[in-house]
Amino acid sequence: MTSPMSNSDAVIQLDGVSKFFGGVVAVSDVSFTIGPGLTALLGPNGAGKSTVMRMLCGLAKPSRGTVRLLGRDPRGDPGVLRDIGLVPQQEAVPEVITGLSFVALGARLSKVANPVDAARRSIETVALDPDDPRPLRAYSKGMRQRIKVAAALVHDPRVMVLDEPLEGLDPRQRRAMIDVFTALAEGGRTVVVSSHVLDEVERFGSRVLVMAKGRLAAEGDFRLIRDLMDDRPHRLRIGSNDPRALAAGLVADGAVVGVTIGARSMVVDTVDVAAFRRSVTRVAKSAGVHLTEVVPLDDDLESVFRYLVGGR
Amino acid sequence: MSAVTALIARTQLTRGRVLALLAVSGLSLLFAIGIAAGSSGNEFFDTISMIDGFALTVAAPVVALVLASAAFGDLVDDGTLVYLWLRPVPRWQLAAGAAIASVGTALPIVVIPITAAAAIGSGFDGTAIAATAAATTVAVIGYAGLFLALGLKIRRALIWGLAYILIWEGFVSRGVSGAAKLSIQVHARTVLARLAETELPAHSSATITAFAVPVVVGAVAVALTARWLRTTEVA
Repeated sequence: MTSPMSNSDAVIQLDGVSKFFGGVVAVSDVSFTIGPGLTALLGPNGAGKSTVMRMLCGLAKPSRGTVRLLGRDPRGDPGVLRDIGLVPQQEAVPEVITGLSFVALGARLSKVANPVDAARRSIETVALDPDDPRPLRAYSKGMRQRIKVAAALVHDPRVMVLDEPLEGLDPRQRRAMIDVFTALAEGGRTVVVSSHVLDEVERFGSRVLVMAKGRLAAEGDFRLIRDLMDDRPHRLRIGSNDPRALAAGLVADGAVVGVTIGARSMVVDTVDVAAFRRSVTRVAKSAGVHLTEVVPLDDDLESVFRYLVGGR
Repeated sequence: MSAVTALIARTQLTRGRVLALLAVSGLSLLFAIGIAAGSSGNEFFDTISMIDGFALTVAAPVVALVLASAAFGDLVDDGTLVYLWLRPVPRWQLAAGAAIASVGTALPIVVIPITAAAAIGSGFDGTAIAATAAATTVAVIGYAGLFLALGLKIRRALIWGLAYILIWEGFVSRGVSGAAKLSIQVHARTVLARLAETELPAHSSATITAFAVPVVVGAVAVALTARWLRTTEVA
């Protein structure tokens, strides 16, 4: 599952990193390295993705372990901030200024030559109008998200850290933004994108880190992780007028690996949902059983991540 | 630094805030008109007492509290501090930029109406006008630095700041002689009394000390703010 990276390739390196908030463990003993290109950080809400991203930008200090970005401590060495572009998860932007002022402010503080020109280019990259006279409070959620990306891009950083950057974007904007991130990665930058949407991550590229419950659950090529997710047992609730007869037929057909029978329904485990769906209608018809419902019980990301960390 | 100052000043100066704070400072104009209309024969002293009892005790600290605590406090509350923090700018420049914004926004709201009130109440006495302008300026500088640090460090800084104004400045510093040496209000009152060449209760002795202490307190608070910016965790 893992694809070890030599330290010479590592742009970002976390070694035994934990983060506690009082008695709450937000991140527990996480180690990984990230090199140039696009890496997706995947996990359900509350998995610790944002905390990891804050630590690798220096916004938060690890309770244990070390974080290195370009070989430097992002908290102890403010000079490294010149090489970081962050799109934070929160929607908030300074409400009272225009998009151009916001992005140009970032350019000025990062000592970019011709900050207003750089800000214009950056805003055009995310398909917004640099001459929009409205203050940012008038921007829609999608526009705010894109102006945050423009502000993160404006100083041409070597490392881009994007925390749920596609939130609030419509499908067309999502595609355009993914193209921007991919182009940045292909240009040699290190781009880290977090998401809790599985299908979204698939489009980012092949390398993923999966987090669940504050731990690194899996790391490596997306296709291998996807296969692992597809191979896991799936659980469904089947409603019928005769659960016992239906269960007997399904077991005989080899469509299920486990069955729990109730009065009007049963819960089954299967490793191949598509084959099971074909089998259940055939078995029900031949046994004269009337199906009332077929409901997946674990078709959410939480269950995928639970499976990856070893317990259902 | 100017870009930081401009952004923070624009964040601080919401319409509601400016109107409310101008109303607080503007009360001194009403008091001054009352003094002038009363023709007590002692308008100069009445005006200086009003400046001491209202402008230095209520208006200057409250205006400085509201604006300076919002400088970083608003950014922490709404999560936008990250856009300043994550730039390769020395932390002292962020702190200094916020301090300039705080003093720069609070000074006109405090000094202009209150100095105008001193002019009206005293019958345009130059001594009263100069003393008022100097005392309110000193007070704003000291309070702005203090409340800037408070706004970064503490949630609900407005409540804690008001408690500080009421308990420390309004009560402890008047009743405990050692505490007066650390009271911005007492030093500002001393500036007022010395320049107006009049006697006011509970003011300290040396004029130079009275000018210096609030400025030093403000500067130390700004330095602390810079230090806390280095060590704070940003959401």
